Amino acid sequence: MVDNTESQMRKGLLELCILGIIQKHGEAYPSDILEQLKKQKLVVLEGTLYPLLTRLKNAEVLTYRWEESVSGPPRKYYALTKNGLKIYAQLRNTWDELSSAVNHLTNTI
Amino acid sequence: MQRIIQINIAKQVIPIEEDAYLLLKDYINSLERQFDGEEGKEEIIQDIESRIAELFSIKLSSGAPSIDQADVQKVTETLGHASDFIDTTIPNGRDKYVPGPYKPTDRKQQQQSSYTGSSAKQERRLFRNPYDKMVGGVCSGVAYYFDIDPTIVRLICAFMLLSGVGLIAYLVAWAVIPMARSREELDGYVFDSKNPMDIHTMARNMGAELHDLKNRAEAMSQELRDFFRKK
Repeated sequence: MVDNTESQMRKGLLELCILGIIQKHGEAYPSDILEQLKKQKLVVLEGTLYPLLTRLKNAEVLTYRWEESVSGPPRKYYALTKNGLKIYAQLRNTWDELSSAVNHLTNTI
Repeated sequence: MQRIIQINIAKQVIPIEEDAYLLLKDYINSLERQFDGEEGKEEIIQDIESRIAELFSIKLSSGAPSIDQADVQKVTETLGHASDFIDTTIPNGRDKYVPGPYKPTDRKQQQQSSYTGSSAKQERRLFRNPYDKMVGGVCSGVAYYFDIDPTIVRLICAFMLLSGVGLIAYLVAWAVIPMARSREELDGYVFDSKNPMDIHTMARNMGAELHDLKNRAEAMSQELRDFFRKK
């Protein structure tokens, strides 16, 4: 039960985290994003990232460009669209409100 | 025995063992079923393939000659199974797809067919049979070759010995027919044309076998002595 709740929380916040990572770096390719998420122990499963990125791209939140790689397959570098920046700011705002509300409610003092 | 094939995944040419390839194909098929009907399905699969290619490239650049089953398993675990991809952002969630378990029976059959395909069609050759021999394994080997009872061949051989010519013929056959080194060789699965008999190995083999024969003759005379003592 606790596991499920935790994973729902992570999944719910994954989108915000992805947008945040991309915004912070200007652009990022999926393996970069995965690495950042792993560093913070936030990754759910690598596979969940790809459908999410594609959906965000189709919703015109993200855009990408191709870049050749020396060591592997060509990479897709994602960046936020104008619309994406707006959405990210909105989500970020919601998160700030939410986290302070949650902290406020769960803190005993 | 494993056949290594080359696949092109996300424009990368990757050497991969056949078993591993089948496993990977199963996995990608399960993803395709998972994303069936989803807008951007092709793209999602492409992106995942690209990640797989990247992980394989890393593995290969660390010195591995090819991708094996363990590598594929590791990659699929890292990425997650199709059923784990259920997205909560889509209301009502889509029907859960339980990935078809890795089918060992299919794979076994395939493996077997490739095995028989490559080697079992070799013609059976005449060998002396080390697994069932009285003297040099000649009679047993001939019997095995024609798939008949070695006792019949031995009886014919014994009659020929009485005529005198038989002894020389037997010794020649003993010297000329190579001893099978394994049961597989006896069955014709192993075909070793690079290793023809030369006079040295023949002589060496004869020495070893004569020693062996002496031991068996001693054992046999002991048995005969016991047999008559009892009488």
